Amino acid sequence: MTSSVYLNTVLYREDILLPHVVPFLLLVPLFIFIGGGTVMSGAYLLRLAMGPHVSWNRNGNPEPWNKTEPTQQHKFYSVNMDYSKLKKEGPDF
Amino acid sequence: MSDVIEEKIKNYRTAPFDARFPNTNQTRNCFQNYLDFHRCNKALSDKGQDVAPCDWYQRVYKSLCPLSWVAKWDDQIEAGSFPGKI
Repeated sequence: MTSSVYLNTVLYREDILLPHVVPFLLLVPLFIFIGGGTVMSGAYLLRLAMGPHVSWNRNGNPEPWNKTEPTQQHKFYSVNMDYSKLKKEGPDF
Repeated sequence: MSDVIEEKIKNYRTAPFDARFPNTNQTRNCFQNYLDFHRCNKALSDKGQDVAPCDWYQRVYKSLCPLSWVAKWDDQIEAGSFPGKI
């Protein structure tokens, strides 16, 4: 008789005391991964909502990426980039 | 102002870096310049001004966009079914 624990049918060994919470404890890694996935997808949604990546309001704020400065850095880390550029065309609208 | 742009168009080599689109995926850059070209044409011709400055946007989108996309969008504009707001 090994000491492996089946989730639905717990084998009771006579020589050790088996707490009833062991099936829940064994499921904790599952909760960790599911919770981590939920947190990461929520964080991505927040990033999209707050940054100029997606147009959320077609009538009120179309094309939010056009409202940023030409000198603003959007990347997290950029190599060898001088961000003091000028806007590239005459305003005409 | 317009001779600055004329100068830029004359010295054009390729699409310059656009801080709005810093990553590898330049799809939106292409589409934005296409839209800007047509909006510029519409706005300047409504005001009765010369549409020559709009050529900058045309050079940029011709540098960036695949030919099939440009052809498809041109056909859509002629047919009146273009999805962008011009």
